[in-house]
Amino acid sequence: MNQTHFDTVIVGSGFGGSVMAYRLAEAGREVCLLEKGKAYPPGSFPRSPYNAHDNFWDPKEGRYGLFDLWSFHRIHALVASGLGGGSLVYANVLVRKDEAWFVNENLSQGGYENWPVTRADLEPHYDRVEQVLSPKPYPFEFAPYSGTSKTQAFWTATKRAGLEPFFPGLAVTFANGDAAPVPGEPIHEAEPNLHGRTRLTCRLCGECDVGCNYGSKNTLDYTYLSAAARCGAELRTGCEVKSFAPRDVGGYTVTYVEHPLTAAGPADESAPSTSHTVTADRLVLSAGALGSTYLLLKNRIAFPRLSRRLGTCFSGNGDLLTFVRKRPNAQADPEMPAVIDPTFGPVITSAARVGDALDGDGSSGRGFYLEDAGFPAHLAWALQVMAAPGPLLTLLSQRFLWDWTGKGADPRLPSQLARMLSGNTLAGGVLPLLGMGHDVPDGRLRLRAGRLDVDWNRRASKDYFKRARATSQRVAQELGATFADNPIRYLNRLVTVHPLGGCPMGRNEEEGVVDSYGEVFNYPDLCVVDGAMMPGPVGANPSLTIAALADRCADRLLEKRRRG
Amino acid sequence: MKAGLTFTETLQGHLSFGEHDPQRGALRGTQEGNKIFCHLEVNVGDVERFYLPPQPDNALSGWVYSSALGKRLPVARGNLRFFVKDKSATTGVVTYQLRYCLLLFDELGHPLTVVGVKTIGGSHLGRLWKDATTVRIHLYKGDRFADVAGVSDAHIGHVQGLETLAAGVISVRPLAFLRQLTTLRAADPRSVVRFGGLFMKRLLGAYALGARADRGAR
Ligand SMILES: Cc1cc2nc3c(=O)[nH]c(=O)nc-3n(C[C@H](O)[C@H](O)[C@H](O)COP(=O)(O)OP(=O)(O)OC[C@H]3O[C@@H](n4cnc5c(N)ncnc54)[C@H](O)[C@@H]3O)c2cc1C
Ligand code: SF4
Repeated sequence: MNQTHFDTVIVGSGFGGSVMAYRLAEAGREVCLLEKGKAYPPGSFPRSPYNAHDNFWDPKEGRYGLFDLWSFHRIHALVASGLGGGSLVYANVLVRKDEAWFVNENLSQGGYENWPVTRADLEPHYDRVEQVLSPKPYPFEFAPYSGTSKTQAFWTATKRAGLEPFFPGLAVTFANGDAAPVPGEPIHEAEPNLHGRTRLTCRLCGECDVGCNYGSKNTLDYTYLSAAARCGAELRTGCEVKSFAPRDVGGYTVTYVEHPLTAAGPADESAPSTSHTVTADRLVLSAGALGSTYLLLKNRIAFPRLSRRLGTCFSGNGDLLTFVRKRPNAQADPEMPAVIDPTFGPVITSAARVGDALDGDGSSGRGFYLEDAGFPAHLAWALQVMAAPGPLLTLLSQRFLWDWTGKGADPRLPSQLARMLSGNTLAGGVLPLLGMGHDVPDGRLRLRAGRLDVDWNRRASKDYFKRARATSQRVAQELGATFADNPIRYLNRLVTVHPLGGCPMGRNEEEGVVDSYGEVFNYPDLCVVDGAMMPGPVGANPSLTIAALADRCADRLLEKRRRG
Repeated sequence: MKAGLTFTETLQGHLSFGEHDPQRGALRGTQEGNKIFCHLEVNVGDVERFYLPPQPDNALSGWVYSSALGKRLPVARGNLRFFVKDKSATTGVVTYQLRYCLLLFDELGHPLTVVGVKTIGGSHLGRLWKDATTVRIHLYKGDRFADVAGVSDAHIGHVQGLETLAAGVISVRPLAFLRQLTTLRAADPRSVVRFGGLFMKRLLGAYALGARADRGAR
């Protein structure tokens, strides 16, 4: 018989949920974590493009795959569903939020964001999270890592453009302990991971964004979730939370459906989804910025005293993806690789920061980061397949490839993308650049006919995007490359992989939905702990900041219990 | 034998969550694009006594749609009370109210109670059309049907543990009103005439009274 009452129920196993699960379980709390997606042991991430649509999350169509694509009017967001949330597909970059970017604006006088925490508040939590996720800079000084052409190209070009590149921490295991890094070696783990499988050191295959089949990424399932499971936390996969409500006796009732997933394989279509109910003294929503906000909007009827700020402060963290194409006939340049191969090496190895007026060092405008975004070799091939008319194209053109005006799909996009990314037409190679930064969080998530949608005024961030594009263009020039704005121009404005906000933190319910410890105003013991609690963009890659905030929330929750 | 009749009323407007005042809720709701649409069938049990308390027979059915609530939600229980007398505690002005009460369940099964109020009288006759077509609404958490169905404005503030979810204003558009007239149905056509007559009499009476109160104040 399954247990039905817990000290804490956590919804979602991304950065927020996994940190909470471990911290609470470690302190002896009875924790149940409900994750809608599957568990992905090494080797289980699918690669074939022929059944690529099965790799999407769409339960209505019997699909329980890794990628969860949310299509809104004028913007689309890509997130992951699986045990470990976004960490399964993320590019491993762990960067702390810049101290000056914990913005304090007056919301009642036209301001957009007001952070109730500071960098100093988070510092000890950043330290603690880094101990678990163990970020390491890319070992570029060693062979074969030194042969990573996109890293070399990025460093040379950004330096020439007057930027200062650096190696950010990557949550990837390149080496055993202090030994020299070697690709493809078995990793010695002190304790077995929850999959009970051997991991290998990074093999530089460039597939981080579609799931690492070697277990080289220090994803949440190998780190926080394995530790939580060892402390007795119950991790239930395939369990999608639908509704919840306060109980008269205190605490919360949570109803979820269990999808018919086999261990890591495809769905067993003959079995129906079943509905279950559990109760808990406290409920932690960590379903991601979109997932948690959606759940609260859907369940609003049960929570009349929720802040009016629900849905506000949405931003895409300033995401801007551009492609730099190296001319095959470009003059030989001793500091540049002859050919850029974006499929060799982890998806991101390097970053460069562009200053912000808030930095107080003479910089002006809104700041951002540029990173070298590689992509998996099979993606170009996959896109070629997609470019052929077929079910996936239909799926994508409906759900994803809207023209950014929202008027309709641009059916040419997959084929243009495929041409852009495939090696044979590009003798010189291509370097995607991912920009992200301090945009204006003026989006508002809401329900339209029961579905999540966003009202977003892109104009507010126009100067920001213009500046990020201009800088990318400058880097392209230094590469002796053409700046490929088209056809990706659509994508630039289209897709964010960093949706944030929706249940912003605030000092009171006029400012936010939750306090700076994630607790929902007027609803004690209900918390939102994930990207949704951000009152604005993180600027840098957000995961480390989400995890650090979660660690701080866990401290408070445990402290409160001890006192109460 | 009691003579009954039915008609259909469609009302639409805007509401806003976290708001307690219907006017402000409507304003905010318009800005936020939070529409609400009610399609209600009114079932008058007895045309001779429809306006007399306790009016248990005037049932409402139909559905409510709001973009913020998702799909069309069928009315699980509904009740309409005609000409409930209400005296303002502050101004002493007497008005008559048409009070709608609905029990709904949202997509996830959470119950909510909707109370809608048309206030008639208490001012001059020129406001009749607007008054008779405007409904101030409140959405309350949970199934509070039994607690609020028979309660007037003056007393609803004293109902224990009532939690407001949203407030706003809905109204009958002129065209919808004309259509509404064509939906009047009764087993005996005389019931329609009788209902219309009694209704108009009460309606105009409310304003006559309001006018008298006005003069009295002067
Ligand atoms: C391709 C890609 C690359 C990225 N690279 C980086 C990077 O290099 N560095 C970085 O910092 N960030 C990166 N990100 C962003 C990062 O993944 C997210 O910011 C982060 O995962 C957000 O964490 P979270 O805890 O808010 O939610 P998520 O990680 O999104 O986790 C939410 C979890 O909740 C589950 N869930 C949702 N709804 C329900 C429900 N109703 N019931 C049960 N479970 C539910 C989901 O399945 C998911 O597992 C990347 C993202 C993508 C897509
Ligand atoms: S480059 Fe390949 S092996 Fe290395 S972490 Fe990324 S997916 Fe895993």
